[in-house]
Amino acid sequence: MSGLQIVLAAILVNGAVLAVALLAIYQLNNEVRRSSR
Amino acid sequence: MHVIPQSWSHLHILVSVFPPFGLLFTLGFYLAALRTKNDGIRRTCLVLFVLLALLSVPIYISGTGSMAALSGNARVPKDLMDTHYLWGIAALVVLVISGVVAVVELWRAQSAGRPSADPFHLVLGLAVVTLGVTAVASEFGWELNIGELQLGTPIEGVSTSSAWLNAHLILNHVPTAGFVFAIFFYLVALVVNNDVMKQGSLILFVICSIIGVPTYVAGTAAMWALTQPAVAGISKAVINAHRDMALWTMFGLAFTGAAAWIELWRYRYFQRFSSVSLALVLLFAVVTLGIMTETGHRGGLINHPEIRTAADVLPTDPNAGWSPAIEKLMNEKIWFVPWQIVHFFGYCFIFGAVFAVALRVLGLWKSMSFAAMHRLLLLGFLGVLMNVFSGMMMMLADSYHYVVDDSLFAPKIALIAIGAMAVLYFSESDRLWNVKAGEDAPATAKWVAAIVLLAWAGVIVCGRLLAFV
Repeated sequence: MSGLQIVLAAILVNGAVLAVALLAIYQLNNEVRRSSR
Repeated sequence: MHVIPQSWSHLHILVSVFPPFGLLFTLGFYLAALRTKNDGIRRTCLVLFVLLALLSVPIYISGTGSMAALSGNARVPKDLMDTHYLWGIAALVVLVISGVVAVVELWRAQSAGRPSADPFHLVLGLAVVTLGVTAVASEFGWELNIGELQLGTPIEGVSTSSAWLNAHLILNHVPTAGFVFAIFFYLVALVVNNDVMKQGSLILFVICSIIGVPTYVAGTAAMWALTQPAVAGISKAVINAHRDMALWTMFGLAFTGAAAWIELWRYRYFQRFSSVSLALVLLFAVVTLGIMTETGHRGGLINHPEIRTAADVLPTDPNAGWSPAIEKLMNEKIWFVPWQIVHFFGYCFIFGAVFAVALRVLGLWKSMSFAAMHRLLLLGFLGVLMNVFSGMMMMLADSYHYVVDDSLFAPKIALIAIGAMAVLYFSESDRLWNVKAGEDAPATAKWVAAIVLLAWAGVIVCGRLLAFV
């Protein structure tokens, strides 16, 4: 297992997890913002 | 349906779980009802006290049936069985009395056309006493049950403490029995459209999901207690079948708890529930309860040969299934390292959000209203989700080393549960929500904030010291 492969796997997994988390925050915050107008 | 009891002792074990845990959850709701003066919840609790009292009939019949069946069994000490019987009878008597008083209270409220007031808190007091006596009776029943396991003499440095086994067997009833009662309250709340009861049920779903984490960890340690050194009659393949189902339970709990928490969080801003989200929580909860039933049954098969039926085909390959496959994968760096990084990102989310909110409660950044800080809790919640998943994966890489060898793993997991429940207070307290910019938070909230800070700081410290102590 080369170091490069591990780095790529880490970027892939963390990118996916963080993207889902940030999308959830974005969606829910948008909803709250719209309701408070 | 292989999960339907085929013997008195199996029925007795199943039914007698409900009074102690049921009383605990119903009392929680009852106290909430008294505090919020919510008549709908009070009446539902009174009905539940009556239903729990009715369970005394199957408990008594199955108990005497089990006594007759086990009387010749050398593994079951007679004096312990007699003590359990005496405490059991005392528990059933107070259980029935509290049920009768609940009926009277329901009838009085109904005939007078007024909310049930429980003058002198008679129902409350009786329910507390009943909870205490049933807990003692259950403890003796428990010893009878666990006594069947011949764990042998512990070997220093090899054996895993049997305390893990006890912890797992007690903890697993919180999510399982908890879900039964949470679904009951939730369904009643949906039918009578009682928002406070909906909130209460959603909170119970979240609490059960939080307790799912220490249950899973204690279960992993219990596996080592039963397999290293090997215990006669215990098969690793049967344990793995249970673990695989427990993995699905964790997912079910995560989905239900997450959907319930998000809906609680949204409720703060909209002051009404979304019917789609409520239906989703119900769907997740029912499916999860089904998975938990199968998980519990498979767990029972590990050490209860008497509940096995001819239809049960027990697995024999200790390497089959999801759990051993995940263990093997997580032992490779390319799997372990990315999830470890997710775990660290999760920490940042949790500590960033929780510390900021706790410091505001303690008096820092008073120019911010609590409602503004409340939004940050979402970040912490997502961090908890990320870390439960990544932490579980990492634990599976070398669970003996993490759970059994490292003395700081157990406190870490206990602190996670305490910290998560304390944060639940932040997301749910009405008094805190109403703290405006420039205002001081209530004293109770400050104590909770101190617990939150200490608990999560403890989690970080224990986690970091794992490899070194």
